[in-house]
Amino acid sequence: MRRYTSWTIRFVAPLLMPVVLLGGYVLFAHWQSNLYFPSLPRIYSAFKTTWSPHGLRLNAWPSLSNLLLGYPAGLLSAVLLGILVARLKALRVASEPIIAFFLALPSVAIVPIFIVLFGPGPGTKQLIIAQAVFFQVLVNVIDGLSTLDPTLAQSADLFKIRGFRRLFLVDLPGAGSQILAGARAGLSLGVLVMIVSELFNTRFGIGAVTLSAQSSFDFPTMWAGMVFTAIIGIGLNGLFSLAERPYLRRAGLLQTTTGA
Amino acid sequence: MSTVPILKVENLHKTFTLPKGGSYTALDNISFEVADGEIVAVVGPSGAGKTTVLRCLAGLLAPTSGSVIFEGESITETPQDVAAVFQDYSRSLLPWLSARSNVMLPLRSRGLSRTEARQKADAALASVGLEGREGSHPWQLSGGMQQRVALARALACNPRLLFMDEPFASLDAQTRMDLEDLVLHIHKEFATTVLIVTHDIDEAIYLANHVVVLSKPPATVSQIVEINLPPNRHQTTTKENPAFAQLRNHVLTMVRRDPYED
Repeated sequence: MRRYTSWTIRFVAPLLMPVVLLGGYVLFAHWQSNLYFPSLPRIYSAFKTTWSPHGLRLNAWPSLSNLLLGYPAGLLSAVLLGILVARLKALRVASEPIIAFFLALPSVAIVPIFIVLFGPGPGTKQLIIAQAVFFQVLVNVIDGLSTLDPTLAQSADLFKIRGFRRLFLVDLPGAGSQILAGARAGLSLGVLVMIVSELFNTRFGIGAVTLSAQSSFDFPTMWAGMVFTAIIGIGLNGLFSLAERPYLRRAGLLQTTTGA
Repeated sequence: MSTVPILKVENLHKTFTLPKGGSYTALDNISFEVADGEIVAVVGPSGAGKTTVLRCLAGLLAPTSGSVIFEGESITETPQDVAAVFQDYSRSLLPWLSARSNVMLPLRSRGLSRTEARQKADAALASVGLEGREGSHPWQLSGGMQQRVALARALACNPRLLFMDEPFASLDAQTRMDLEDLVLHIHKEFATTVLIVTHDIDEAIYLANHVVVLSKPPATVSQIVEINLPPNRHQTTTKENPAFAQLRNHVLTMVRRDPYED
C-alpha cells in the first residue's frame, strides 16, 4: 500500500498539472475559436510538419549547433578565468566592476549590438551564447572559490596540499555545488539567447521559424515552435541533471544515497 | 619519557585589528613548554582564545609578538612533522573522497608514490579500527568514525607533534570516551607528542601529563598543573581516584572563577 502511494506521487502527480492545463486549453480553444489560439490537433499537425526530420535538419540543427559550441566555450572559459581571478586578489578587485557591468546588462540587450558588429552569421550567435553563459558561470566560480569553507581550507593548508592537487581535489569540488548552480542557470540563459539571437536577420533556426510563423499569421506553427523550445529546454535540463549526478553522488549530496 | 622540550612557546601575544577600528587582544603573554613524548592539554574559560593559541602554534596564524619554537627552530609556517585533528570533522575531511583517499592526500603531497601512500593509509586506518571501511566516504560513516579517519590522516604523516583542536566536542559521551582511549593507545604505540585543546576539564586531566590553564581574555597562563595520576589511565578507575577529583576541582575552580572577578 505504501509502495503504491509513493509510486503514485512519484510518477502520476507530476503529470497531473500538465494534463489539467492541456485539458483547459482544449476547452478554451474550442469555445473561443480564436485565431490566436488554434485547437490542439492543428498545433499537433503543424508540429509534425515543422519538426519533421527535414524540418529538424533545416531549423533545429542550426540553433542547437550554436548552443552546442557556444555553451561549452562559455562554461570552460568561465571556469578557467574564474580560477585565475579567485587566486589573484588584484585581478579580482580590478575585474569586479566589469563583471558587475556585464552581469547587470541583460544578455538579450547585447544581441543587437553583437549582430551589428559581427553580422548575423552562426559565429556571432555562438559568441552571443558563449558570453551570456560566461558571465553567469564566472561570478559563481569566483564566489564559490573565494568563499570556500574555512575549515576545509585550513586543514588543506595544514597538510600542505598545494598546486593542481589542491585545485582539483579540494578547491574545485569544494566550490562544486555553486559552480554547478551557475552552469545550470547558464544553460537556461544559453537557450534563451539562442532563440533571441535568431529574431534578427535570420532565416533558419527555432527562433526564426517561430518569429516568421507569427508574422505570417501562421499561429499553429508559432505554437509548435514554442512547444519545441520548451521540449529542448526540459531535455537539456534533464541531461544536465544526469551529468552532475556523479559529482553529487561522490560528495554525498544525492538524497537517495546519503546517510550511514 | 625525556624532558627535552619539543615545543617552546615564549611570550606569545596576539592582537586582532577589528574591521571597525580598534583592536582586541586575544592572547597576552602565553608561555609554556611541551616535552617530547608527553600529552599537554590546554583548557580555559569559553572564549579564552584556546583555538587562537593552537592556530599560532600550528603556524596557521602569525602571532603579534613572541615566538613558537619547534625542535629548536622558530615556526613561520606549519612544519612537516606536525599534523592536526580539528573539531569539525565533517568539514575538515573531503566528502568527495573515500576514507582512504582522504588519508592518502597529505601523503601524496609529501611526495610518496601512490602504492606507498595507499599502504600507509590502510595501515593508519587499521590502527584506528577502521579496517574494512577504507572505501567508504565520510558521509557514509558515523561522527566517531569520521573523527577516526581524521586521526588516521594525521597519524599517517608520522607527526612528531599532533595538535588536536577540541577533537571530540561534537561527539556523544561514549564515543568520546572510546576516542580518548584511542588517543592514549596511539600515544603509547607511536610515542607521538600530543597537544590537545579542549573545554572538557575531565578530558584534559584524563589524557594529559600537564594541563595549561588559560585565564579569560586577554589570555595569560593562570597555571600549569602537573597531572601525577598513574600512567595507565582507565575510564573508571582513573576517574574514581580521589587525586582525579582533586585535580578536577582545582582546575575547574580556576576556569570558573575567572569570568566573575577582576
